[in-house]
Amino acid sequence: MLFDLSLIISMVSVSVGLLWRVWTWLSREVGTAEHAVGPLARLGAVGAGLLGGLKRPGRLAKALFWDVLFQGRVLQESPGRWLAHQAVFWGFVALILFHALEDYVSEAFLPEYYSTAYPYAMLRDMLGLLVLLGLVVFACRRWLNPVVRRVTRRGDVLILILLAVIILSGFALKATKIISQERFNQMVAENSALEAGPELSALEVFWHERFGVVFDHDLPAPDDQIMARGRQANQDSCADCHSQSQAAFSSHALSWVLAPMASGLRRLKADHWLWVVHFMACFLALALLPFSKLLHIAATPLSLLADAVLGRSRYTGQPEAELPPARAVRRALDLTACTGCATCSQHCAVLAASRVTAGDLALPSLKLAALGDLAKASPQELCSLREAIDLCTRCQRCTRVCPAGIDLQDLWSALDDEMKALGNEPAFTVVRRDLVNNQKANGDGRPPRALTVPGQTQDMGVLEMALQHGYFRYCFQCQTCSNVCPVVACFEHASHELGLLPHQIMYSLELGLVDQAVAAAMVWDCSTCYQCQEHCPQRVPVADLLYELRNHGFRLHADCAPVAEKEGR
Amino acid sequence: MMTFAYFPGCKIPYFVPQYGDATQAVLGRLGIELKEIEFGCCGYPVRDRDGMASLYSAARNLALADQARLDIMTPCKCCFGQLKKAQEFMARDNRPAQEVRKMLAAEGLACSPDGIQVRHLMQVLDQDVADPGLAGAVTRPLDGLHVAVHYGCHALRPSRTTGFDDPANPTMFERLIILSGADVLDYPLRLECCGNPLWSKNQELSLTLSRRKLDSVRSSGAQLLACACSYCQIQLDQVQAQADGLLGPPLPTVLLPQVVGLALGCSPAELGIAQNQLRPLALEEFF
Repeated sequence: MLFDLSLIISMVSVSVGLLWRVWTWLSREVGTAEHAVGPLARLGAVGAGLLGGLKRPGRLAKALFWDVLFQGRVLQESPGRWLAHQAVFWGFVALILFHALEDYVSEAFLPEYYSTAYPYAMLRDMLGLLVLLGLVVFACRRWLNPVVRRVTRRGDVLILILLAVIILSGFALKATKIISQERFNQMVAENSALEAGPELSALEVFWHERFGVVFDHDLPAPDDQIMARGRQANQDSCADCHSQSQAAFSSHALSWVLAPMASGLRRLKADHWLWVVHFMACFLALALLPFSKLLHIAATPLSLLADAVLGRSRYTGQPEAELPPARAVRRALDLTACTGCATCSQHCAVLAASRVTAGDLALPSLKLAALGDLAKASPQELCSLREAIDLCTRCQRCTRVCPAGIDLQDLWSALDDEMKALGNEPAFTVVRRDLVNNQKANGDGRPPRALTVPGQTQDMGVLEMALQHGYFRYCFQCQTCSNVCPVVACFEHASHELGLLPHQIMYSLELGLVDQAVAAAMVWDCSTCYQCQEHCPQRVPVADLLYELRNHGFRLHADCAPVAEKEGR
Repeated sequence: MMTFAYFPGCKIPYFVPQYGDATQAVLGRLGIELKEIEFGCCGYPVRDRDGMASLYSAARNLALADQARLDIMTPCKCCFGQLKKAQEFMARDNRPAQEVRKMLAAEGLACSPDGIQVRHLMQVLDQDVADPGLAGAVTRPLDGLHVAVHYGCHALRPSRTTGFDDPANPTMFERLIILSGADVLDYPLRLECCGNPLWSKNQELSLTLSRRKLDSVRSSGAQLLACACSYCQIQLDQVQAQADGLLGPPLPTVLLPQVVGLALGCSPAELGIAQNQLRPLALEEFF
């Protein structure tokens, strides 16, 4: 009853879920294109892509066999991970076919198939162990690799736990069956003609001694005569379709551990409840397939095929007028094809920088997840995401290494567009406007604010050091820096447009007027050409200090709240 | 045979792949080996926002090259300047430098004091080619081609940090172009900024700087502008092509190894010349 009901529920969930997923691939807008691309246009693009792919069957075949079935991209990335993934993947495939669907596959096609017979009992046990070992490797990688750990999400852990529960409950179920007296009695009643008597008693002794069945009543001493009789009875009634329990070696080992608790387990009906846990876990995994990272079983092969047909998007230097339908469907598909494997994050060019600034969200694995959930993001999350986006250099390395063939580079463009549509601008623009306009609006009437006392901040930059050690003492206001500045040269009324000129900024710093300096448009419009610094006769590091002032401006803005409100101005 | 750790930086792989292709083709011809190490970002792009993040990124790359005991060769001047800056920084003993050393040590990395050298492609072509040097390898001199050169800022300045060339009157770029057989034309804003650092921060100002630069080049009568930096090429080629005439009549910008490569007998395909946005017609005479 429970079995049938949960099976039906999980089947409904997986079918409806998959249909819904296909619908999102055909309808979800990722990025804000000028014109929405409808489902029909997308279906057309998929058809055209397939036809185009058939013209180059070699590429499609390579994607199908090397990328999808053999998972060659994972092998290229890490042989160890590949081995673990193969173990989990093929182990599960075989278990589903020969164990879960044994009525339809094993019994129909395998000679003399009994789930309890050799070699089938052993093979099943081996497959379970294979999957379990793979899962252990996955778990260790998530736990021990610092980068993978940074990008591991709750869903990754839950799915690992769920899969482990399926396998472990299977082992435990088998182990309790091995020691179960009820199972023994039930099988004797169903499969033999034995009645209570010396022969059955001998069989019990034999199964207890040899196969580990635990009985609640006293058994005769296992002398040679009884054992020989028991062996004969086993040969006559059992051995045809039941091999020795040791064949299921992992479960048998576990049954050793469980044997002392046999009577307790019997009272609790452990074998029944383990069976319930086992099938419920299986059905839960099935039901969750469309709604969790398990979806990658379906989405990633599609993404790899799409990658083979379409290739990576290329930089053309020209802004796109509209999104091609093939790209629209691929973006929606790619969002669901991520397995969370963290390969992209391990190779990310700004991995080092993300340890100091912007944090974990800068890593592509989490940024991709954030793009998927953008509609639900809070302002604070959007602000952190903005820092992450600004840090990305678009080096395309994530796209090159992705084992799922996701065109991440293209998704970053989409993310940028969606953020823009939400009114979220690059932090540089916001900070600049915030500081410079605020200064203009307030005039220069407000009292200057001193910088945090040097030594208090963790990272004492050049600016603090400069203030502490008086780099500016040597500046005698010759204005060479302002005279050689190409930005100053662009304006007719430079002091008006730029707030302060470079030499005035240096002078402000000398006076400790950091507030005024950081609010000068000049600081933010510096082209970093270093003419000022190169030409300074007194070796004041002018351009480096302008960098430091920008750093300072970003620090003022660190929590994303406008500086003006924070200061209560 | 000379071997360098190749540092393409973040812009070459996606935005200017032809720069990487041309660099590899030219150095391959000259018997200079490039070894791929998985470097991270040089830290230049994040320097506006966080100096520590930027220096740590750069120092980590220096430490990676140090670990492989290879000098770094980068075609990008902004990467070059940033790595040089980090070298200078790591030689100090102040708190930020100690902090970075600690973070590197956590990964088992370190920048040794007598560490590796950071070289720009231009220095390698000028100084590191085995005898008889670049001149001996030229098989197809680009006679009659008039080229103006764009030095770019971050290799040249601050000169005390970068030690690239004479900051007031550099000659390295001209030397290489002349070795390729072409003529070099001087122009007033030869050492000025291309405008790219302000791109997407202050678009108008960025375009104004580019316009002033390009107008100055045009005044020299050059057929082509040559540059040797990923960011400069993005600005002077791609941005110029997109700007719809805002930057004046199109002036094709090519990359140094594309010019040198042609003189060395590399094919236009190897040098990725077709991937430039503005078609360098004057160069096509030598295909």
